[in-house]
Amino acid sequence: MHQTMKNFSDITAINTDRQLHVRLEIVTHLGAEFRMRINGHLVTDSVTEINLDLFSPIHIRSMTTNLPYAGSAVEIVSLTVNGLSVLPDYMEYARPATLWLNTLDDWEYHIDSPFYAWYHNVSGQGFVA
Amino acid sequence: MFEQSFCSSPWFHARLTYNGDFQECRWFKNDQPGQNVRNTSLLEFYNSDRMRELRTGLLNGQQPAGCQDCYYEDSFGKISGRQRQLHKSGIKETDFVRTIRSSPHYQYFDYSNNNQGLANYAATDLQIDLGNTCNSACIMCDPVSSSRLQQEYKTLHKINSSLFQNPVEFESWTRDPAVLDRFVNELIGIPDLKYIHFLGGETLYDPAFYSICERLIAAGVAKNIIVGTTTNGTIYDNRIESLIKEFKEFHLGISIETVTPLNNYIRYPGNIDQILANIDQFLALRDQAKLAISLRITPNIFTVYELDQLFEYMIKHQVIAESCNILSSPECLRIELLSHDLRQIVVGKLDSIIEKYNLQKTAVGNIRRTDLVPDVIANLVVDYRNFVATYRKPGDADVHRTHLIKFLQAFEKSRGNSILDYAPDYEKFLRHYGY
Repeated sequence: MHQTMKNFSDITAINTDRQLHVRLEIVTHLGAEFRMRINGHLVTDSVTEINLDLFSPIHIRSMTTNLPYAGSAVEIVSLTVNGLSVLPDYMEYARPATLWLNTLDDWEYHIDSPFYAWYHNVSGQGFVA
Repeated sequence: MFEQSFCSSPWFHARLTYNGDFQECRWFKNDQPGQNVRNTSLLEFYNSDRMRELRTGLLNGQQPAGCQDCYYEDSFGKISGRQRQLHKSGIKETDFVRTIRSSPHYQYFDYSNNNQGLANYAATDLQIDLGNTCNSACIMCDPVSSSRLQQEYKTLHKINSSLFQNPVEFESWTRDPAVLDRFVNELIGIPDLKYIHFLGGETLYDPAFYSICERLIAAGVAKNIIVGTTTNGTIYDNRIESLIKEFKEFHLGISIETVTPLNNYIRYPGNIDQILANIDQFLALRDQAKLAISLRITPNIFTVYELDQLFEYMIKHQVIAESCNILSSPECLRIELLSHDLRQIVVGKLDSIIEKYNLQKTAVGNIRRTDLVPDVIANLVVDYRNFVATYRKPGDADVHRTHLIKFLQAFEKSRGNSILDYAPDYEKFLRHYGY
């Protein structure tokens, strides 16, 4: 992405594969168990990192399967895309709108592609003409 | 590099000038007569040879001659018109390739790239100059933008014909009801029209402003449109209060240069006390949703000296200023003509403001977000400080300084005032060049 561009045709020729670096950080509290996927990729560690195409949508789906104690929960600590903070900043787009998953319900976060157009909108950058 | 030359403006924006000529962009400099609204539709203009040539040039990585003001501002890190237009396409120069590829406008750039500059997308962001009906005669303005100055230039031309051309007689396109009606019908029919910025003259003084707004409201499209306009602050018209509520958003720019009587000299014959009282009334309307207010400043060789006081006012009232360009015309009023001594004083004053409020430059995209007002103000102060501290003095500065004296003397002969009553600290500088 850092090669020198001389004209628009150079822009059209770039490879858009793996241009989104997605990083998700979670923490489990008091033995909470869950199944979570980012674009089909199973989340097994506290930090998950994947690369996606520039225009790829980003879908996170989680199901909390076991909450053995009263304080058990899965916490979504952060989600960044190419270093831009998505969560916790834009938690309101989560369904349900929380980052503290302490019920046996599904939780989802969807970013429609392309990411940068979505981010321009949600971060209050004004209208796209 | 492509990211330093490309601009997305010709894919969504156009300007209709005071006499009805279409122009490529609100910042574009082109003295050639263009196609006129009296015999050309906006859509026809948008695919004219001129627009196709501009698009093709930008796609090929050229820096069109008419865009040089923006590139000049870019060179100082100031937010130029080009930066603003890129922002409206969701494109960031700092992450150019990813953001242009992701832009909703990318498909339109690509279409033009494959079709000799043709556009398949209508202009959805317009600047409409209503004409030159104006109650002010600002010294940096010109007769095509001020009816009052149009009259005065006849006198100024007699005093100094080399500096002041005899004003061209013209009729504003809005004075022809049939043309106005046809154009407004075209506006109403533009799918997804997003933004209209009205300019005068003095828009709040111009009946065409109210009639166009009322037509858009009556047609039911106003609720989808953001309207902006720029006023000189001399008028508070109650009709604005009801208009604000009808549009998706309303952006009101108030042209002011200083909060001191120097403003009366520059924005003649303004009364700064009255203007500040009017601004208070406008600011009180901010509590109503959808109204964004900004000061519109165009600092010149004199007003830059009191910019620190204006910045203090902005900080106190939490109102931003938008500086649309670094003044380049008339050349004799350019900031870059400051003497060395005055320049150092200005830098010192701006440094004091920066230190007093601990201002720092930050990345701000949407300057009209209310929560970003402090950041926008900070950026503006830092930008101007850096510009004054680093600009390169023109090689022909002394020629223009001499012109400045003749320029002022002609106005003062017409108006019976003196700059020394408003800018006494400039006396030594002005006397040196023959005042």
